[in-house]
Amino acid sequence: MWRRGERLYALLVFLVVLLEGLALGSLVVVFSGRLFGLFGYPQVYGALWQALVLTGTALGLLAAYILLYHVYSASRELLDRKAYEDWLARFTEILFAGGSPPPPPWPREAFEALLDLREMLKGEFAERITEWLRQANPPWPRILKARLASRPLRLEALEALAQARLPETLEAVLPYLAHPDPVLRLAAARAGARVAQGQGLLDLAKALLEAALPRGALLEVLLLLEDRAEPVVEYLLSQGGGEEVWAALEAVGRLKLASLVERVLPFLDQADPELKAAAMRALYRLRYPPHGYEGLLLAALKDEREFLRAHAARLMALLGNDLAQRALWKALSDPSFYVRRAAAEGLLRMNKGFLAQAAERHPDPFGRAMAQQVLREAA
Amino acid sequence: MARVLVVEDDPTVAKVLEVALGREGYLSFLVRDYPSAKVALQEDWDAIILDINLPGGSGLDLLRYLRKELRKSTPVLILSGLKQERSLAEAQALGAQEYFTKPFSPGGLIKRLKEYVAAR
Repeated sequence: MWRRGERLYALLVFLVVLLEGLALGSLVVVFSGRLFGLFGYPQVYGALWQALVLTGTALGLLAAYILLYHVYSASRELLDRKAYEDWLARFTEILFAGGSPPPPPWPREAFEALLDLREMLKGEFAERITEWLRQANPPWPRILKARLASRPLRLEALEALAQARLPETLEAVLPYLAHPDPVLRLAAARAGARVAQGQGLLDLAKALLEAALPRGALLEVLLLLEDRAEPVVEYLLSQGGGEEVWAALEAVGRLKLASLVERVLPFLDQADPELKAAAMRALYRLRYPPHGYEGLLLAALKDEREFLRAHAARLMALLGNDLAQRALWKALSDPSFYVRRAAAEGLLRMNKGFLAQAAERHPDPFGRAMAQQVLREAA
Repeated sequence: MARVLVVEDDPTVAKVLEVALGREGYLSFLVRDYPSAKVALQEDWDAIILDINLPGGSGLDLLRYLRKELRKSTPVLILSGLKQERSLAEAQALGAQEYFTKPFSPGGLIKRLKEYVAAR
């Protein structure tokens, strides 16, 4: 969207306020002079008229600017949209025809079209677009390194680099992970996650440790790494503090990083309940039965915190042995609905017949009801 | 000439599909939102390329409408930004032939489309 002219608007408002200040100031002087007999009525009358005309002119200017801005914006946006569509069509045709793009320099709309294509395509086409972008020598790394670039311009540059996915631009992005502005830090982390490859992944992991992002934001960054996440997640698991380890454990489960399962298991013995729960979630998402950690799971089933008991019940079911069956039978009498539900679903997965027995013979009426409900739903 | 309905609100993807289908000799017809797509589904198409997140509704609801109410077996290829297993499972359960996620490779999509059109 075309959104320029804010500075002109600010200047105009300042001018209006200044003129109004002058008008009011002159009125104060003239009225005071009249009070002490220094000015006659015609002079006061004239000053009043002048102030009125000045105010009218200032307000008229402001209204005209706003109206012109809207008219101009609408037409400019149409032109920009048309230019974008023309470039999009041009680049798409060249991509499929197998030719070369027009020689740079390209206008802003051309870059926008190319970045959107890069975002939507993969494989051979994506590689060709990356090469075209590289040849066009885009301005974004220079904007990030410039001292006087504005914050919006830097944000735009970070977003563009994220879309362009040029690995060599990582070095321009990483310093922003230590920027005092948290918005720029987050934008840089997102861009870094899209751009980093090979050795750059480890550099990104180190920079993420310094960035001190909230764990939700950090998790989002790790998920953006997709199939390149493993070295970064592994580094955060071994070197990170509580926030980084939590995000890394979540990422292991969500990205199904089965190769890191051995790094997750020790966190079942964590004192921090949030990390312990994150480790259990990760293992459950990986469908990994934590053999050798049965004692810790049994202890978690007795924990006073409901969320730990629920996660432990879900994970326990993956063990699929008699011990798990007995523990889940017992968990059916847990005071928490969520733990009973997890226990019943686990039993259904392990041994439907055993759950049917629980539906008939479990001593706890709520446990029986939950078993019956889960069986009904399964049918 | 085979006719393909493209239900897609993203102008970039729409343009890529238009060019890719045109080069393969297909006649593509683009609709950008749920209500227009629902009207377009009344016609007979050789194949449909369907996005899930559409202005005004879900592509999965359109697929349900096509299969359950219009009772048409037109090949449907889902092309969506959604990567959740739930969306994939729901699309398959509703009878979608393929599920492609964005970013996508036009070559792979067109190859599958050709096979489905040829099989009709």
